[in-house]
Amino acid sequence: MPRRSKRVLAHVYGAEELCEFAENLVHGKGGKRLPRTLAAAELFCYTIVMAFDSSPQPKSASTNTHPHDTPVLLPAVARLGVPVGIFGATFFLIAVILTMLFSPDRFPVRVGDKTVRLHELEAEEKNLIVKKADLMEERKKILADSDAPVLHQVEKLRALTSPVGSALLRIEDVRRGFRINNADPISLPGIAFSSEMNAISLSGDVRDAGGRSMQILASFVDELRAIESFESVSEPEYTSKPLPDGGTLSQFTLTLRFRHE
Amino acid sequence: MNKLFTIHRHTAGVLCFVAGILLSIGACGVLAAHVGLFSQKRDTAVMIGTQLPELKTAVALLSASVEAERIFASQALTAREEQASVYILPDGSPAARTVKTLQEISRLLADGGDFSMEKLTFDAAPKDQGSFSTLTANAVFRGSFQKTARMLAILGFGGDMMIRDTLSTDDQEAFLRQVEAIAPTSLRRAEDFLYMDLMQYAADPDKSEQRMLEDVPTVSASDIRATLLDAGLATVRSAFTGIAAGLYEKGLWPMPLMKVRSLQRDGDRWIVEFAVFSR
Repeated sequence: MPRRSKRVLAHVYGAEELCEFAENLVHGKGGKRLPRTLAAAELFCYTIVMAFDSSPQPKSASTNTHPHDTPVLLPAVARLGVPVGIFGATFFLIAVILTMLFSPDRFPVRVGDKTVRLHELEAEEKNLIVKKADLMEERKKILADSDAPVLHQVEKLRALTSPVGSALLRIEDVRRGFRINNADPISLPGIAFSSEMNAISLSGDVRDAGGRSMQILASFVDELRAIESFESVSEPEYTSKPLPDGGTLSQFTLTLRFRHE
Repeated sequence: MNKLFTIHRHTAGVLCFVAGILLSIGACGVLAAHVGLFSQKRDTAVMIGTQLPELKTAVALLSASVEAERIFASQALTAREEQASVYILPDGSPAARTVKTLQEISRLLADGGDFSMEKLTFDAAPKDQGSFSTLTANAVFRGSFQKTARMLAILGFGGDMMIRDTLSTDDQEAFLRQVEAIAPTSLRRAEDFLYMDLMQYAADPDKSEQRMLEDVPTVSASDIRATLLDAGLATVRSAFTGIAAGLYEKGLWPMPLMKVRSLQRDGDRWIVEFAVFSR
């Protein structure tokens, strides 16, 4: 083991055991040399030293120089320089060439059940976007050029009206849907509409000989709620009065509010 | 001299080594970036691939719509504008035409005799509302719930001229999208259908729909028909069945623009207050 190496190992780790370990590696335990591991052990120790202590050691006159003190790593690196340089340059060149040759645009992509090239997809998308913008522009131009002030005013005013009649038709359809044997269980004697309230008020009653008037009323309300014109349908008060024929009567009042257009 | 040469040779070797390592790292970086680019491009392709059908549909719809609007603007706009200014939003008092229209509708609705218009009164003068005027009218109808509902539904179509006037923009788009998806070649016909005169349609709705859907497979045609009925054409059918032709013949179509203000049921009497619009 070179002396300098031993000194630096001790300096780095501050442990005499490390020096002894290195000594034993080089010379073998009990002074017996182990020729097979000698070279490897020497290189190992020296590499550790070089790695941890790269600062130049002042050469004192009293220090004895050993033939193994000559640096090993730098010459090795210098000797490997040209092959590593050539490898790096070649690798880099190949990487650049591969990048240019195997551009993503050259390869088809599978989208859904179609295989297309990306640049074709991008071009198609661009074309469609341009076409859409042109059509929008054309539409704007047609509307701007069309001289129809009365039609435009009618369109605006039409938006102010509530579809009372069509809503009543739907209510009547729903009501008639409950008809059994040509008898209407639901009657609506009270119907009122006010544009200020934007709502229809219904009052009436449900008669059922089987005593299920409240169930019929609940179904009627559910079906009214399915009419799109109405934003809301109020919940009625469910009451049941016995009728002389053994059936029941449920009177109700409902408020059906129109959607704001 | 020899030593100096050795030192230079060592330095050059070390520099070559460092350059080789750096170039290798650079090459790895270039390859990694390229792999990343592949992945990114693939994602872009998938994104475009997903958006493309929707964009194609939008362009096809827009194209058909622009074409229909262009034809409407060049051929029918002037006539419609004239109709609107004479019948829908007249310059003078709308009372006379309103009386004629309501009486004719009542007559056609009565048929079996269970509906009539008992009374119709108007305010003395229209009320100025800025860019338009409103004339308040009070009518008393006598009849069943169904007949009165039909009468009010017909009043609700006052001001409408074409099928597209009765459908919301969303419903029109949904209908055209459906046609485009099922039978793209019928798109133009579907656009023409939207520009069709409402009373012509109401006079024979089945025939009009059949003509529009003649290239569409039967199963899909019934789906499209269902969409249209849900969108509001069911009301057109139930309101105008049996009276559309009569209104058309008497020259009472298009009707004045009317707005129901209040409604009160009193037995079989229906008291309706409504406003008739004019300019």
